[in-house]
Amino acid sequence: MRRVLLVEDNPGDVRLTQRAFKDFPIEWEVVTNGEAALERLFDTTKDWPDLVLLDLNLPRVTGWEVLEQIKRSPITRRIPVVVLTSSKSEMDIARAADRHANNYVIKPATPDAFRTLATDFDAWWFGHNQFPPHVDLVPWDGGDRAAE
Amino acid sequence: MGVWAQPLFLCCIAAAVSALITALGIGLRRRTKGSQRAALTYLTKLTHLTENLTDGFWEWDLTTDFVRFSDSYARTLGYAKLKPGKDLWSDLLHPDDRQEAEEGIQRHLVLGEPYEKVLRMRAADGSYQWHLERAQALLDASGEPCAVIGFHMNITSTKHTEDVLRRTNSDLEQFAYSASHDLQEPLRMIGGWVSALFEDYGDRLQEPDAIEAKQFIVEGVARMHRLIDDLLRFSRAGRNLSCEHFPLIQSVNEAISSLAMLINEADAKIYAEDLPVVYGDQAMVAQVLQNLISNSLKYSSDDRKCRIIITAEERGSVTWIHVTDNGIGIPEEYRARVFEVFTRLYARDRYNGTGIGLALVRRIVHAHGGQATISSGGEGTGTTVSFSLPEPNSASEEATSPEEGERDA
Repeated sequence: MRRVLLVEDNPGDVRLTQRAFKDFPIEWEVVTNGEAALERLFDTTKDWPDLVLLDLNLPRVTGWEVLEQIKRSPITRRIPVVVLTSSKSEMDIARAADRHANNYVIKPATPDAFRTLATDFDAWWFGHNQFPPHVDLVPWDGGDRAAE
Repeated sequence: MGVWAQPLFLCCIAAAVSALITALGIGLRRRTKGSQRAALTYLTKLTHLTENLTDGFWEWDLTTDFVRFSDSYARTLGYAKLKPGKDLWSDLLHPDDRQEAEEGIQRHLVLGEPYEKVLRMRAADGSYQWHLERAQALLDASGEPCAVIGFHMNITSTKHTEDVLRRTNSDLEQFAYSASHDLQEPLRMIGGWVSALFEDYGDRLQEPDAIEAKQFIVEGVARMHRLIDDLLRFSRAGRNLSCEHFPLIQSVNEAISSLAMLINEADAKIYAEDLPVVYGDQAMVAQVLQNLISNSLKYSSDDRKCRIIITAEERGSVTWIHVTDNGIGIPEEYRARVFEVFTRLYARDRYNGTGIGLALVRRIVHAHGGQATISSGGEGTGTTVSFSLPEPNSASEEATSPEEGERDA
């Protein structure tokens, strides 16, 4: 079981995300605002989730602030945080990287695309960082790595 | 006149104003020794003139360090009169502007740099008024500065308009950002859940009407996404232009290569002859040409192959570029409207599009200080879209439409 903390205020998005991941063994914990997310992560009586899926557009304490808080603390910065947002803006992508997000994922528009993403995502984050299954791996011929 | 009728001051006025007078074409006759009185009358007239021409002036006597203000100057700030005083000018200046103004004056006196500043001065009611200030040192016989004379123009209302404009622009930017994110968000939700609904309950929604309804929703959502994207592009177009001289053919080639597939499909021919070097943002001009060529391809006639001719002519400091096709043309009554956003003349099933193309063309051309026009012999006779690109800093009245003054270039 992988434990994922989903920070998302829109119930429709929560369900779409969970639906896309339904074939994978994920234990969801959902919080609907930034304050609750920080409270949960800084609560020393609870174990950390394996991963945080973070929406940026949250009421009051925004996803940006949550990201910053998590990555500022030397303890919580080890929790992988993946930004999951509808913003395609290059500014936002750069900003997330500056704040040490572990990845930036744009919310897919269709359930099909979302499922593809979930498959890749599971393989990458929980399958010991293997390459996603649909990527053709070229077998290493034992030769010069620099030639890649 | 009272306080003004002092020889030093009058000399100052004469010196400073003479340039003004010459500019007005009045011509100041050289004074002779015998016409002192006539000269004084002249000076009185000039003083009246400056009182009415400018919002006010001041004179700083460097030997006594006293500053005198004209009555007109006092009036623009809401004072009846301002008594001459040593530090009054500095006192009236906004604290944040004081250092800059005083340094400017010193640089003018020592280094001879021209002095022109936009400053805030305190009015009688305590508010601050924006002033455009120019000053000029007057030299005595030995070439040393003996006085400084300054002219003021109250530009508070202009400044205010600028502020409003800047705020409006930043509101627009904010709106564009919201449009791209906040408006797309619920759309994604609608589109996503309709698909999910049909995936999960598709077996119970097999009626043809239900499938058709899904189709309508999905198409509507896709179209709305396109409209929002286009609106965003429209609001951004023409901002932050990076203008340079470049051969127009570069933009033409760029436009053609990005439309290569459509051109091949339509088996269209595009002719471009002797295109000059123009001044503008090369990528933006390519965007204009791409929109025009893609329009010509889209609105081509069914019974003949699409032919597009791109020509240019130089009229003074303005280059006009014409894109002519042999397509379906455009009825006269609609010509004025085609440059408006989201204007479409044909049903979507016949010619697809959001109606942003020509609006975007006009916006980009206006940002360059140019104009865009459309002409056609009528339906079935082809269309010519023309746009102009003026040279930089050319006072090209003919190139700017009077009602819109976007000249960011």
